[in-house]
Amino acid sequence: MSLYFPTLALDVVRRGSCSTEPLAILDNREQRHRVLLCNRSAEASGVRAGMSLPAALALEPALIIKSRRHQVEQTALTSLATWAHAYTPKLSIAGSDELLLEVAGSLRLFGGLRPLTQKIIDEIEHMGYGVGYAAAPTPQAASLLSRAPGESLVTQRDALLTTLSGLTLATLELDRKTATTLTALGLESLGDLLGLPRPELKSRIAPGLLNLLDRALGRRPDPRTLFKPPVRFRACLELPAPTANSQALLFGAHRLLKDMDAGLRVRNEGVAQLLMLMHHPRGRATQIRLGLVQPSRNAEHWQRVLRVRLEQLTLDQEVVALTLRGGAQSPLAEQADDLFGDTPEQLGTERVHLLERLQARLGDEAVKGIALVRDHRPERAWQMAIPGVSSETVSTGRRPLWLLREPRGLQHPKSQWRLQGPERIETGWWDGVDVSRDYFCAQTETGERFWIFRDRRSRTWFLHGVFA
Amino acid sequence: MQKAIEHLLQNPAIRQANFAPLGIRPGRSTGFAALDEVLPGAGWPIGSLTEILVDRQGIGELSLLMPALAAASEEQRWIAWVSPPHIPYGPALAAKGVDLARILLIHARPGPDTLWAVEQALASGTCSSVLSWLDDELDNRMLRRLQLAAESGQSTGFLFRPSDHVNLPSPAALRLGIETTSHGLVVKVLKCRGRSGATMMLDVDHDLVEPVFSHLGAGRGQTRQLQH
Repeated sequence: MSLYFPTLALDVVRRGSCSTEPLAILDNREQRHRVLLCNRSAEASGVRAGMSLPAALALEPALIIKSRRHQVEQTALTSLATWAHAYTPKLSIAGSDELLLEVAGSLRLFGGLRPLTQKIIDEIEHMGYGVGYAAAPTPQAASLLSRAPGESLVTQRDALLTTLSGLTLATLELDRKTATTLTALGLESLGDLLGLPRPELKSRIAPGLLNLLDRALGRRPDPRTLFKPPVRFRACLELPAPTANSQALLFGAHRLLKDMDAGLRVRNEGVAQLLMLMHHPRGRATQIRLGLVQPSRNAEHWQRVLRVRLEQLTLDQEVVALTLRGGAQSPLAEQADDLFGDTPEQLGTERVHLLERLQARLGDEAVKGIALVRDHRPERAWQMAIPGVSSETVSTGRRPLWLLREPRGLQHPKSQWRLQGPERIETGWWDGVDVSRDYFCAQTETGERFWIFRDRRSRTWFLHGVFA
Repeated sequence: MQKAIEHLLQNPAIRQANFAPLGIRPGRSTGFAALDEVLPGAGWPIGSLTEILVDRQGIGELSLLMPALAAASEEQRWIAWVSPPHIPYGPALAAKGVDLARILLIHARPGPDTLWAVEQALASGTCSSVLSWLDDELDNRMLRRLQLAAESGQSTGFLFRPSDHVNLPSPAALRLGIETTSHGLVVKVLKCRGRSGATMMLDVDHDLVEPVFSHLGAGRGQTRQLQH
C-alpha cells in the first residue's frame, strides 16, 4: 500500500493551528519565489500553486507566507511512519513524501483491505494530513496509483497491467526533457509506453523508466529498506503565525502529543518525561519539562499537565515553532482504552492524574500522603509518604487530630485548666533524639482541648497538639 | 410517550442518574443522628460545599467530620486536605477509622495556588471529600466556582472559615456555625436547603448525641423549622 502526501509541506504548517487564514508555502529551491502550495482560503482569493510571490500578494495582501522546511517535513514523515507501525511492521519511507506499507499480513486482523484502508485514511486525515493512497501487489505500482486521481485497491497481479495502462504519464513524475520526448512521440498513457518495444524504450527514450515499469509489474525484484521506529519520540511543528497565546500553543502541542500517542500505541509504551521546546524568532528556546508519576502516552492527559504549566508561564517573546521530545519509553500496564469505564483501575489512573496536575503546578513536595511509623515519639510516629500507601495500624493512647509542626513553649498551665494524664513517653536514646515527656490532655476554661507535655529534664511545658 | 420513555429506560445501555425525590440527593451521613435528622439529604451534601464557621481551634471541629471521613475511606477516592493549619496527625486519624491510604495532603502557597488546588481537587471526581481553610481569598465569585467544581466532581467540599463571614452571602449548600460550651460542641445549622435554624449539642469525641437544646438561642429557628 502506498500513502502519498502531496501537500506535506503545507500540512506541517497548517495542522499547527485551528485558524484558516490564507497561507502559502514557498518553494525555496528556485531563485525566484514561487508558491508551492496554498490552503483553501488562499485559493479562494485566487492564489494558485506556481504563482510568483508578488502576484500572490497582490491577490491576497493578508497571505501568510512560509518557506518550505524539508527538515520539518522529514520529521513529520518519520512520525507518520512510527504511527503506521501499528498496522504493519514492514514499511518503508519512499522519497520525501511517501510511505510504503506491506499490508498483506495485516488484512485478516483488520477485517480485509477495505476496512483497513478506511481506518488508515481516517486516522491520517484526523492528524491533519492530505493523503493519496492506493494498494497493489507491488510497491511501485501502488506508488504510481496513489498519485492518480480516484481510488485503486488492486489485489490481483493479473489486473495490474490493465490498471497501470490507464495511468497518464504525469503520474511518473518524469523530468521535463523525457516528458517532452514522450509527448512528441504521441504517447499519453502508461499503456502507450508499455506498448513500445522494450529495447527501444531502454536504449532511446529513458533507460531508468523500463526498470521502473518492470518493478511496477513485478517483473523485477524491488527490495526496500525497512523503517525502524526511533527509540525516543521527537517531533516538531512550525506554527503558521507567531503567537504567545497559550490556547494557540496548546492547540499546536496537542497535535504533537497526538502524534506521540499514536507512535507509542504500537508498542504499548509510555513516557514519564517530556520536554517541550518553544522556539522564538531569536534567542534560546523556552523549555518546559513535564514529568508524570507513571509513564503515559495519553495525549489528553499530557495536555492537561501541559496546560497547567503553560498557564503559569509568561512568554516575553512570541513562539514560531514547537518541538516535543520524549524521555525513555517504558511498557504500560495493560489497560482498556475505555474513557468512560469507571472500573477501580480506571479511577486509579484518574487519581494519579490529579496528583500529577497538582505536582506540575505546586511542585513534587507539595503533594503527599501520610504513613504511620512504629515509634513512640509522637513527632516520629508518622511521616510524609507517597499518597496511597497503606500503613500498619499502631495503637497508641489518645492522640489529637492536629499535631503542631514544632512543640511550642508554654507558660505553666493555668489552674483553671482541667488536666488528664500524664502519659509518659520516654524513648529514643538509640538515635540520639531521646525524649522524656509527660503528656496531658488539657481542657481550658473556655472549652478548647490541647495536648501538652512537660519536658522532664528542663521541667518546661510545651503545646504539641490540638484536639480539633 | 411515557411508555416509550419507560421502554427506552429499560435498555441496559442507558444509565440513569439517581435523582432522589424532591430534588434532594442523599448526603454522606455525618455519623451523628441528631445532625443527620436536620440535614436535607440526611448527611453532608455530596457535590456541594459545606461551610463550617468556627473561630477557635480545639473544640472538636475536625472530630465532627471524622465519622463521615471514616465512611468515605471505603470509596476508592482521595480525602484531600488543602493547606491545613497544622499536621493532620496520622495516629489520631487512624484511630478514628480513617484509612490513611486515602489521605492526600496538598500544600500550596496562600492565595491563587491554594484556590486552584481546592478547585482541582473538587472538580477532579477523584476526591470524595476536600477539606480547606480558605479565608480572605474567598469572594462570592470564587465560592461559586468552587461550588460548581464540587458539583462536577461529586465531592463534598468542607470549608473552614471564621464566623465573621456569617452575614456574607454564600452559594454553599450548607453552613454550620460551631461553638463550644463546657457541655460539648454546639452545632448551629445556619443555612441548608429546606430548613435551617436547628441547633444541637453533640459530643463529638464520644459519638454520643444529645437531643436538641431548645434554650441555645434556637427559638426563632425552631419556629421556622416547624413552619416547613
